[in-house]
Amino acid sequence: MSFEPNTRIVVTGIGAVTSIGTTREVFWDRLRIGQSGIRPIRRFDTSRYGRNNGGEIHDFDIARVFPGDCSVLELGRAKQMMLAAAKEALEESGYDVSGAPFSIGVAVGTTMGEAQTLENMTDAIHQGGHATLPVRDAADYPPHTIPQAVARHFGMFGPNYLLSNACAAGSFAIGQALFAIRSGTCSAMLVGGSDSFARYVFSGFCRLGAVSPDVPRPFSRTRKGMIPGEGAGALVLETWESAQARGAQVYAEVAGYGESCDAHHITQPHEDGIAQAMRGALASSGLAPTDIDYISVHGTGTPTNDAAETRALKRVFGDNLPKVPVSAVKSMLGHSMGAASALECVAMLLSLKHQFMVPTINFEEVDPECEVDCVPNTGRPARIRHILKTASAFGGNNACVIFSGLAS
Amino acid sequence: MSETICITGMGVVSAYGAGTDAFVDGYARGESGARALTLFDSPHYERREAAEVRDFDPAAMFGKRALKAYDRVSLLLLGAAELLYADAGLGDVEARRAQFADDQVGMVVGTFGSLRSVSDFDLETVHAPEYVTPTQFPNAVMCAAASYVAIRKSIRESCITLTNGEPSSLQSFALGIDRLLQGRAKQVLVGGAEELTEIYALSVQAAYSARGKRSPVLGEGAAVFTLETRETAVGRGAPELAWVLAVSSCFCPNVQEAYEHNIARIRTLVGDEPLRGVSHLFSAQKAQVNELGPLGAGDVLVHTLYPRFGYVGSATGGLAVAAMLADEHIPPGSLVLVNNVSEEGNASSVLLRKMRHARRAAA
Repeated sequence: MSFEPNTRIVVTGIGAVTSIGTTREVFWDRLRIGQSGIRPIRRFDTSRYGRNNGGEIHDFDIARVFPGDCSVLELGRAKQMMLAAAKEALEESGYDVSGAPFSIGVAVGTTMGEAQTLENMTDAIHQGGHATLPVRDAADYPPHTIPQAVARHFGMFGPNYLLSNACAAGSFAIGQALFAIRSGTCSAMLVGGSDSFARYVFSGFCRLGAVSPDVPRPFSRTRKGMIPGEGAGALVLETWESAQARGAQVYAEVAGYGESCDAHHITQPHEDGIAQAMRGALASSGLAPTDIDYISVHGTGTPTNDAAETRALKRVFGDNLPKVPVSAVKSMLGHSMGAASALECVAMLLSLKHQFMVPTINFEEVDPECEVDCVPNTGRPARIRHILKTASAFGGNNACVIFSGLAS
Repeated sequence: MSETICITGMGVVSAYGAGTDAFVDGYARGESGARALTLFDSPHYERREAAEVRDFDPAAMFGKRALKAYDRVSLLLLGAAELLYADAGLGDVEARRAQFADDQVGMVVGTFGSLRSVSDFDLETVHAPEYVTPTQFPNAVMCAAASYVAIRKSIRESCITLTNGEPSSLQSFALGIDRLLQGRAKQVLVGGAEELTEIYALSVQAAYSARGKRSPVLGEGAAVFTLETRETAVGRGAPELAWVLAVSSCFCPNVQEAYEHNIARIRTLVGDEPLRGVSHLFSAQKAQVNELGPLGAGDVLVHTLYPRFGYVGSATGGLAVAAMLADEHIPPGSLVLVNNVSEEGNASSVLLRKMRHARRAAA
């Protein structure tokens, strides 16, 4: 068994479906100005949950993305959003899928899979017992139907992975895609993450005391929790040689990648594991912490997460940390679960392209436990060469990606 | 970067019982693991038999509190991992640390997670969202089972959960090997686990019904293995149960094309000769694809999993590898191909050279 560790891998296309915009351009326009996607939840009655806000997407219509294509209308929402993000990324990349279908695979991360389909099944059980379990929903539910739907729709027949590493799953998908390419299995991978808004996730986080009563305020002393959301993000990864040969536009090189497991607690993050993933990414990139210009954090806005993440950042960046701006995209989108880190990677690639750091909105007061420059409330232009993106999840699963601009 | 990758340990919980010896004995008897269904009584489920895990007592292994904290798939995976490390003399974390630091051990496991935990939690939400049981919420996340193993065994390099249906176990081999080749891990736990619950059975039945088919007899279980480079294994005197020569995975709605692509890829990796030398082929069910033709091999004995273990979802490939190691009619040195081709077209193949029988290694 062998693999080629020095194969350079670049990003040639990105796509986004989010609570602040369902196309890449709109997403970026609103990220720049710090627009919030947090609103009262429409999907279900929240009167008994004690919380009312979510990062739902209210203007996504798959029929507009695939006009005249009836095959996508019956799919679950997670698949629909992933297909839309994938379409945007593939079109931008220009990768010729039909020319060599086995040369490109799919890796998608998710926390819940088709959660809304599962809820339909639960409703049927609630109303009529197991006899009424809807056949179509049962067939639509399995999480691996998400990457399979993407592969089937676009004819991408390389490796097909569903990573279910919860809220870091989108970054884990990137990591596994890197190996698939470096082992020679394929020359490109469509990667990303997708999750639809789920009532049981909302109730679970509410009962854990992790949901903010109004909005997420990452790194602010007044933060009271996260806000669950939904969305999908997609990236086309391919070898530098492939991109160069076909003259593709390149957003960035995936310069480093690291993973870790806290092995500590099923819901409580720990700085040891987060720092380990960052160090792994730095080591694989050959970069030093002082080379990093900008950090995109997991940054949920819960008291525990942001404090643990800050401790981890201090361990890795030391005295240099105050000089490295840190953005929490979830302050705008809410926490879109398995899609979150994929979307935050998309946001960072746009930051790199536009040389602009996006804000952490809703920031009120500095927390002594979280003393970072979180680009509070207003974005800013900046010279950005290397970006480090962290993600953490239930079970203590951490992943970290480093993107480098090609000029660097 | 090139290495020989070895399987150095095996832990299995199946319809044949818990542990390697129970598995080897059950496999040698050649009997079906399917019996009358006892785990649930559903008038809506069309099968009355299932290959349930038997002779597995998680309370004895983990204490009674574990039965409340963990769902069934977590207990099955925890049990298989416990047996794996106990067989290898690494049951105690300190003993393991004497050979591998926490951040040198990784894990990649295939599982659907617990559909029952998700469904039960969502039902609680429907009834009374303000009173859902917060401690049960993590079990509704698909990576919970693997994460519990990581916490219990202090596995810190990484902990990955794949939810790709039947090929998940074999895909876990590919991603596990990734960690070893990159030098990120010295030992990786790979394999798969699946539980049998009413909601899971009904959902599989419904999925088959949507394709106009009857549900297969279902099973459950967990099969996990330790992978190491040969250099590491030999260096610490670990048993070499098998060498993993090549892995390939792809997705194609034309399942024959998917399978043939994997064989072609394996041929690219190892050459034509090892494929021609394949003497045993393990498959989930009787050929939905022509598995022998593309190999160009001579006499190949085909072993099918469903008659013994039922449809075991993500655990399929793991149980197939365990069966290969358990089968004392397959002599050391044999080349064995293990295939999973799902009905949707997700396909994985692993080419192995068996080096010794599981029981003798464990003893």
